[in-house]
Amino acid sequence: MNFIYTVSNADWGHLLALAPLVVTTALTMLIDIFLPAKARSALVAVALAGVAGSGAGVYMLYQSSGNVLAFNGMITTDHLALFGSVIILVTTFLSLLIAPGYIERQGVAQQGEYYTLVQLAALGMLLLTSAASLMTIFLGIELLSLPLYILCAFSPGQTKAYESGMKYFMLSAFASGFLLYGMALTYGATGTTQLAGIQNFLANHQFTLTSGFGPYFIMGMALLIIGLSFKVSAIPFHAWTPDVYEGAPTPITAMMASGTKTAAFVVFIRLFTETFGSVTAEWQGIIWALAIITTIGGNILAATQTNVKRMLAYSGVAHAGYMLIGVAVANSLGTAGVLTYLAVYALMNTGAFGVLSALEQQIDTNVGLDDLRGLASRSPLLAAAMAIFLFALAGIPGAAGFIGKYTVFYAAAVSGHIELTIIGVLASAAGFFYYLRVIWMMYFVPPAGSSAESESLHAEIISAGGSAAAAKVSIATAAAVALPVGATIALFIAAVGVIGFGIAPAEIIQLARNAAGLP
Amino acid sequence: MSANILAFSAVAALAIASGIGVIAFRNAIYSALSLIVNLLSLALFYLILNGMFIAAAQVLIYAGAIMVLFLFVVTMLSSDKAELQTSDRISWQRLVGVIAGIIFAAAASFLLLVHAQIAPDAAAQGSNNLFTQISAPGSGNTEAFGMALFHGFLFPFEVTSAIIVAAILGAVVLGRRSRAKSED
Amino acid sequence: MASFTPLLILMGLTLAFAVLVTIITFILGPKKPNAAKLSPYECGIEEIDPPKQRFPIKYLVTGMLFIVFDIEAASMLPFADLMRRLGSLGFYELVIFIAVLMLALVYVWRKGAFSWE
Repeated sequence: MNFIYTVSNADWGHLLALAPLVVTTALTMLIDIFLPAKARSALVAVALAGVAGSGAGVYMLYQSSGNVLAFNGMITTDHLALFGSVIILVTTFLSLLIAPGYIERQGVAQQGEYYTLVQLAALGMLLLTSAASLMTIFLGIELLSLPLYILCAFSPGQTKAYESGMKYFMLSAFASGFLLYGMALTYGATGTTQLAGIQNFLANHQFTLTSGFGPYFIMGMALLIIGLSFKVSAIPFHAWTPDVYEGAPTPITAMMASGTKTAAFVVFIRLFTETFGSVTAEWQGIIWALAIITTIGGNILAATQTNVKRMLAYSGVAHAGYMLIGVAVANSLGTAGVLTYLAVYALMNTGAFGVLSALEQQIDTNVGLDDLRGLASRSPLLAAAMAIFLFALAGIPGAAGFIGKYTVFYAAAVSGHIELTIIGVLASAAGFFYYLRVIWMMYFVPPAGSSAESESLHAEIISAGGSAAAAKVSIATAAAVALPVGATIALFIAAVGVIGFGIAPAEIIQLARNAAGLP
Repeated sequence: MSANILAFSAVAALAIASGIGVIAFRNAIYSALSLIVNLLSLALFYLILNGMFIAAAQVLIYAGAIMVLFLFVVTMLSSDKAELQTSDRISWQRLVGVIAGIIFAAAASFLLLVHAQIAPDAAAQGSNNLFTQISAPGSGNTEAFGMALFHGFLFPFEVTSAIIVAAILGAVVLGRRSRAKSED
Repeated sequence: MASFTPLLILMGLTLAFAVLVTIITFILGPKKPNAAKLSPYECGIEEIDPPKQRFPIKYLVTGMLFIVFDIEAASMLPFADLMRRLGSLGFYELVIFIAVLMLALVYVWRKGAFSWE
């Protein structure tokens, strides 16, 4: 009776990217309970330090060479994992920078819990990108979801927040069930949970839908697709997205939208493009169809929204569709496209949500299209930042979003899926409408509070004995938006990144190609 | 072998019946009781598969702790007609869902029950696998589980502790919030 | 399998008895439902107030924390079985595991999750 696997000292080195965040998570909890309430402003600094430390760990792992698998084939630190980790760390960093101003405005008292949970969720995402076994994939998904359920319901006393947390929890638990069943069937078909083992098994065995282990495996694959599609919010598994994004605190929405998407797409790539790479014909059709439905549907649904947060949620669905195109082509070129897309999406999307969170500090409700009227004259810098992010999301050349779209559509075109390219390009062209509508509102529609209309509105409120709160809101909307320091830095980083990658994309494309195993 | 199949069939029938009971009963207490039966029958499945530790854990955690929580929740439900019989504005979805579910279940069981075979070397690979190898006949089952848990699956085991921390924080955050609200 | 047979028979008998009694009462008992009877913990006394409002959530929090630490205890069970064979690695592993949960325990304690009022 032996136990086969013994941990070697080298294994521990692979935890370099995770360890700093683990330490600061513990530190956050300790500071929160043992230091006086005044020390609370240190919490965000500790969390930021953890993210930075993890970034340094990723860099050291990138420099090192040798065996990438560790802990009995449970995790890997290959370039794909590291690339995904960097995106997640950047998203978390930006989200943490936006957070302090936002949660103080929202009256969140439990700051210690907030930062601890954010770090735990980030750890889950990092784990997911480095998972090399079905076992770790599942644990990573749970570790990222559980804190997010709680964070979604974090804003105190808001029905929308409870709705958000509850919906995410119920539907996500349901999707986890599909995922787990899919894993069980895959394990049953191949006899191993390690991705390398599954890949090896598939390369050496024949099967069809109705013979051998085929039924188990194909069912398993189908269920895995359902579970992961839920996480990336692909249509028809997208229904939770707008409600959850709307009710969650905006910094969390930003982190969820890019971080979870990145983690889930890395798993998509690792599982399908890599592990199931020898049986492409069996799954390509499904992803192909999902990509088309999601691309078209996401854009149509986004165009019908007047609430900006919901609009961005549906635009996230559409972007998931573009990224699925990269998965559907099922080769390294597609993988490189998806990775490039994820990197630029993290910047522009987090930036856009960052602007929203700054606006929400001023008005109590979610930001509607009307609230953006004349933002350019009130807060020119904020409006300019929002315009940059929206141009990037729309995919206008010169901003980073175009690079992502270009690499994905290029991969589809040269891999013989020209139809995906055409649909993608047409859908993004249609998407211009709802992004540009927001920009038009900011720059060309006069603000609600500046004209005679507003004076009559005031008179109306006063004559009707309207509440002081209503008057305050309309005055507040007319004033410039005050930006907290952290949010300013975050928006600056995101905007510089978006423009920088838009103008000089060679570096990031090359890194993504390396991560995908291309020269 | 036939004893195994007999035992399995009996427990399976029990599991399905109690599972239907959970969703079919209108009174929440009956549903909770059906759920206990369902969880216990799951423990029996584990016993049939020689999984002694996991059967014990099932009884301890699910039938014990989780059911306590369920009963707490039930005490907060009311017997108002409004909550017992919620009207459904999208009943066509339910119909479509039922039809799609039946089609899926039929297709899946046809494929899995009629056509599927475990590949011989997948079974071999599975039996060479960490967990199976150490649970060789004659050795205590809980010991085998422990060896796998603390050596081969060391990393996932440690990650579990982080997940538990998240769960604890969730209980405190959401629980304390509601308490503060109810004291307002 | 064979060693579990008595256990299976016992459980089967217990379950069968419980199910049988439930079914018999369900069939034979007269059914005149009203709102008071349908309430989950009906005890025959006319209710003064609708009982559902403002139920103390602290029971629920206690229940949730109980589950969490129950799971922790269950993971320690196999360790107790083979502490000697696992050696120092297994020991430190469990120390880390417990330390993490201990941190969580101290955290919720200081946060006042265990104070009753």
